[in-house]
Amino acid sequence: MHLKSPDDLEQFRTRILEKRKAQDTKKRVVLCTGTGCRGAGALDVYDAFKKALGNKSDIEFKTTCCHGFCERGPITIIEPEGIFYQRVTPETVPQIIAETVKKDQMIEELLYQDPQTEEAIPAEKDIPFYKKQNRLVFGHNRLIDPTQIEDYLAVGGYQALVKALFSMSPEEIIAEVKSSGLRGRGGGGFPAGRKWESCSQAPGDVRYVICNCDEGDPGAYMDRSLMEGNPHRVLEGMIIGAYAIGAHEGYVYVRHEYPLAVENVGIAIEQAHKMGFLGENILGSGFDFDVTISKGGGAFVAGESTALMASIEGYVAEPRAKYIHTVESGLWDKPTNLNNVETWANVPVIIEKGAEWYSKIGTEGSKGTKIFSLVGKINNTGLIEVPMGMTLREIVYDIGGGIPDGKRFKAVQTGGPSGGCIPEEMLDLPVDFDALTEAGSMMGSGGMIVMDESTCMVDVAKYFTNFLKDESCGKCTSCRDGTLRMYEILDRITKGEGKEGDIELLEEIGWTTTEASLCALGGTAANPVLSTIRYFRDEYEAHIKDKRCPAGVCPALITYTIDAEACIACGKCKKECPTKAITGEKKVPHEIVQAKCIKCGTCKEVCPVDAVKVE
Amino acid sequence: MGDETVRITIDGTELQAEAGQTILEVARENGIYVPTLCYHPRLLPIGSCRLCVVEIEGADRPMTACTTQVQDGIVVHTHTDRLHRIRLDALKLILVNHPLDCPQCDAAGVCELQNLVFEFGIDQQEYQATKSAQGMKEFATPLIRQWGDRCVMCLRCIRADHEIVRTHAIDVVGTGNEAHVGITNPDACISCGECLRVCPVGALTERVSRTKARPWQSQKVLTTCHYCSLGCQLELTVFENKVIGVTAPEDRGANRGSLCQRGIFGYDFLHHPQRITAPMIKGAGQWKEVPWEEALSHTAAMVNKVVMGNGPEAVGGLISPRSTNEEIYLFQRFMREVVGTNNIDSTGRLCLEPHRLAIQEILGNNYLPYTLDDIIRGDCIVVAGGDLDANNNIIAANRIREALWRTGARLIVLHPRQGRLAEEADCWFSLRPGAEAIWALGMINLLLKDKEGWGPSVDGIKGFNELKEAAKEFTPAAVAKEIGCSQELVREAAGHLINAKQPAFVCSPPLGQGPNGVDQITALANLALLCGALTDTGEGGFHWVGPQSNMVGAVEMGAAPTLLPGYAPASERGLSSVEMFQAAAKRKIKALFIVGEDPLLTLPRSLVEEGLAALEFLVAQDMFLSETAERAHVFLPALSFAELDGTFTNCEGRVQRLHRALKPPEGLRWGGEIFAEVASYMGSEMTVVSPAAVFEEIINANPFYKGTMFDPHAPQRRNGSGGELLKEAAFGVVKTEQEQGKKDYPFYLSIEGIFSSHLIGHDHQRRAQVLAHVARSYLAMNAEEAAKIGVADGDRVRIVTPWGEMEIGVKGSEGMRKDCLCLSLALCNVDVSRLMGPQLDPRSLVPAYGRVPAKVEKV
Repeated sequence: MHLKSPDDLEQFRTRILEKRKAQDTKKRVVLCTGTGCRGAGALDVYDAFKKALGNKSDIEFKTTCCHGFCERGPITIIEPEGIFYQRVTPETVPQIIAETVKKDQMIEELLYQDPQTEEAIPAEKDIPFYKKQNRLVFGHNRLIDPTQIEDYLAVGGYQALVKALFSMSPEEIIAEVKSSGLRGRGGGGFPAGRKWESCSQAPGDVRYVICNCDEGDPGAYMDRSLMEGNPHRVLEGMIIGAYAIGAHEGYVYVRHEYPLAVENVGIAIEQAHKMGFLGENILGSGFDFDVTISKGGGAFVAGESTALMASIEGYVAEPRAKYIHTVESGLWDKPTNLNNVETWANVPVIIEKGAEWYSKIGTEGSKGTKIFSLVGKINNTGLIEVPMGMTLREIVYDIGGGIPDGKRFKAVQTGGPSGGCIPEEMLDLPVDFDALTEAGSMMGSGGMIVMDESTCMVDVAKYFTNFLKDESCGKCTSCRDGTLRMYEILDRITKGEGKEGDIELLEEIGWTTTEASLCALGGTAANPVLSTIRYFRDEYEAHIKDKRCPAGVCPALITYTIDAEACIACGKCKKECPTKAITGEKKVPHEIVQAKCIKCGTCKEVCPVDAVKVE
Repeated sequence: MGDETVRITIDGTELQAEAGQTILEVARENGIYVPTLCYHPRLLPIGSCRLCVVEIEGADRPMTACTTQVQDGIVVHTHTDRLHRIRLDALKLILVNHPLDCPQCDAAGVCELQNLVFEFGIDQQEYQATKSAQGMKEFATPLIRQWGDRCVMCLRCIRADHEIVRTHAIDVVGTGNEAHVGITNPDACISCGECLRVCPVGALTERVSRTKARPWQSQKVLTTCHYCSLGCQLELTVFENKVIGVTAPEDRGANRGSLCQRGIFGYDFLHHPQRITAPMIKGAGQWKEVPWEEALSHTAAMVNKVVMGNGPEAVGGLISPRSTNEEIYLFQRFMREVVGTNNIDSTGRLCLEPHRLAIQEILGNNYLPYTLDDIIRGDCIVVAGGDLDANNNIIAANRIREALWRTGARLIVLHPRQGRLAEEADCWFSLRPGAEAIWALGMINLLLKDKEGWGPSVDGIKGFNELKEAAKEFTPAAVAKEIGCSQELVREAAGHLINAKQPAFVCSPPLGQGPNGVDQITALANLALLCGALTDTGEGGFHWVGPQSNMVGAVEMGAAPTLLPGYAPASERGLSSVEMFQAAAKRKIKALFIVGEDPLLTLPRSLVEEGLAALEFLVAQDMFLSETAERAHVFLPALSFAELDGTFTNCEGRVQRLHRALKPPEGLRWGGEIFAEVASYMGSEMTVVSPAAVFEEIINANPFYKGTMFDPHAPQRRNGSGGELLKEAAFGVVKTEQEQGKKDYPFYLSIEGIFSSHLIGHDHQRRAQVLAHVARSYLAMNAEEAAKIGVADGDRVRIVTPWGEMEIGVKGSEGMRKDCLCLSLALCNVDVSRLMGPQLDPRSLVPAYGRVPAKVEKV
């Protein structure tokens, strides 16, 4: 089916919707097979459903990609009621079909339980994790099988493209994107409309658009989930952007560690081609555009725009000085507009609903919503999409469900490895581009790592600096050597070898690294160090002056002891201790022989009465 | 960019700058100092060392001056506390890993890092880190060593490799602090030393002369390279009267600081133990050292005897195109005035003459006004003849590369083998040597068809109609068939020429050194004239690059049987080199005076052997006992280029100085003095005071040198003939030759590099021992053809021609025309001249180095 005009598209859409109308009231099983749920065993669940339903079942069974609440995966939704089953196993599948699908009976154990009220919540929409979100971009994921373009059309897909191609001029589109206030979601937060405008005005006949899906922040996977779950949305954004800018070729740069994203966007491109959304004379508009997939090797720095373009050209992914902007001379020295996955995915909704509608969401300087990956010491890990300006407290406590095991919140690290740590006293910070930067952190691509009281902030800084020193491309002195030296100093401090003046030295190198680096990686590489010093200086001082790790994390600075009074002499710790450092008999309180202790913490973990203390 | 002027303020001074310039460039032009380390004027800036950071009012972060372009009205501060702090920190970070082995480092004293540390007064280091200890390793070539610990990661070496030479032999390997300069493709390395040259510290050092002397103990003497005709300006580092290294100044010469492997590493022959430093006379087959007077008076007597007995026509003279202008001028005076014959020639003429004749036919000139820099402005470059890379004309090849990456020029290469330039070319024509004229006519055919949309009006040029008529039969189909390529390729190449605003042609021997050689060049020059490469303004241009340093000077000083100094025709034609040996064999020439030439290696060997054997008297002047000199009766020791004062004329017509850098061995004298003394013993006086005085004589004798100086204040060229260049232009008449049947000899052999090993010895002598590590001679042949006779890479084969045979290792290549062989000689093979026949191109009097019929056998 090749659509040659907007009318063709609308007729086709109507046919799909009519067909589906009849099915809408029937029972349907929706299984998330996104990467998160796959990790939790969703493919086995898929097989179980296939087996249980058989081939000729009249119950529709559909798979989608990520819904966001990955912590609870594999997730299954029973429609049309929208019953949310979590942590589904192959064993429970027959039960789901027998009871819920066939008899409309809820299975209590599979329902989500509110941690506070301990009440089971059957409907997805009532779960607090989802309730406060505004899933403008991400919401369609749960309705769409990414390998079926009909699913995307059924939710109104490519309507924005029709509007852009047939009732807007390129200038109008750029104006619309500009006034929507959309800022780049890849980290920099550069106004997308302005970027488009510069690129469209740069001299030259050939222009490119690129979709950056080289998501490199550890723990961040929103681009992956969008690309896996709703690739047509991203493509639609790209086609609109290409039309506005005057590009006829586009690239999707995906890291090869994202095989499902590569597969799904590949299928999507093929389908879009067949149906006439890509290729020559798109929908009869006279506009030609094509997209090629370029697979990256997975270097962190390859996500930097100039490094990424070097990689597409076949060179080592190394950033270059942007004294000539990539919008003027980018890929193969041609004007190039690069946006990340989430940015592109925002474009259709802006075109469809208009800049005025869109710009009502968010804060003064940051419009729309942002997807975050909420991970770490938090009850509800997963991907969340919230309007810009929501406070950290709302995110951590209302959506995230607070800190597990009754521990105390300590900090949240935002913006990926080169982001900063924001302490408890700033929990009411509204999350947007400018507020985060102001607080010494950044939006980045939307990573959010929650830390509790058992996290050592020096150790955290060391962890991220270690990552950054390895991922620095090694070109600029300040970044290459700066990150290494900071790491070495942090390493010393955590080993109890910190010296007077180390904090100042860290601040000095951090300052130089920030001030003097060429690309954003180096420019932000000192954030973990500088922000932890800014908010947790006392912890550094405790390490250096008192040779003490307040959080009880740094092995060289802690001692494990057993509280003789609390000890019930059960022998568990003695049995588990890998170095046989624990002495004591039945009914005799146990003791740790410090000389043998390697501070692995096993005894503390296994102690049933919390008698092992760390100092 | 370029034309627009902007005003900027740096450190309170308002300055004018061109749009597109960087802040650093403007600062330097105006004498404002900004520290740098990774910046190099010939490389694209990358802004990685962060030392050149400046503050721009209104920008929140400091910017690197080397990568930031000026904008109208910006206010820049180059020295603030904030910047000082950044620079100091960056330097300290670099220093953490840098070893303090300065006393043992080649770069000590010329180290940019040392200078910066001194400037910033760093005397302590806050960072304690375990230093890595990588030690010293061989780099991409055995001639260069890498000291990883000293590296400051400025990446200049890598950028020089990628931007200037484009071999991609080295690259950044690893990330973060693991990142280092790694060897990624050692086979691609051509040992040009470009990386070594740009290293700001001692991270790359030369293998030959590691710390033989500290920079302040040695002296640098500017002189001109004696290898090829590009005339690179170089500085010999001299310590205790020995050359211990070669560098090149950035602001002089066509090379702008670059050198090739010969120029930078090929100097150890200067101090080779086999050098002969006393005159010798052969008696009873034994050499005997004799006093100068005896050697010279004996020579005079013998020459006199032949002149008296058989007339001056029985004497001949050959002089090397690596002699200075002054020596060559005096030698031709000696031959013409003292002996009284025009029997004088030089292998320089063999390389230049075909080109000169073609240019003369079309423009009425003997040479063209273009410089190598004009190549950079070319937007479609045609390369024909020798493989510039394989023949160490790398500086010219790099100019072409510069045009490719700077302006995106198109490149068309005509060569049977896919060399480095052919690999980079838009169109590579794997044609047999001698088919260039057919190709050119094919282009002309298409160019004339595309009258529309292509600029210069050429109808008025003389010979246009004849050319049009001649090109008629060379349709794409006919040309494709004859060359053995696709019609599309022919059309594509023509399309590039049609679209080009400023085409350029870069040609070199053995183009023109085969049967009908001059016609090939004439045909290419016709095309050049038609498509606008030959212009008065001197952009693009038509370039001729040769293998000998004074190829041009040799002819212009009159080392030619037909030409007096200044291209004045000789009243009576003398014998050319090959003819002299033919005459000698017939006992018509009885005495030969050979200065620095080794005809046994470079001219048809059987003929030369026959001729030499029949001579009554042979005097040879050389640094070493060459093959030919061994057969002489008198040997006169010669000075090396490092011991000489004088001038060379390079292929662009630059007249450049050789400065004496070494004191010659006791008693040795320069050629001019020797010729004058022999003359004096013969009873004629040639007053020779000094090279400078001879140069004055040259200025008077050769009108093209009027206005030049022996010691000029600035780079100089002999008179160009621009401006009126096209006034007399006429298209030349070209004969083409269809491919002939060749039953017994299925291959066309071309010999490249035969003239390049003078002084450094052929492959057995290896007087340039360092070069011998990387210089490989081999026979390139099509891989399939090699397989057919059962040979693999490295196997030895026998090349057989109608005149002789030789053995050499073979290199099979997919990118080699099937019916062609290419002898690529890095060091001349002692037997190669056995392959050559005595036939001459009747126009140029040049024997065939290209298109020699040959067959190959497995050994």
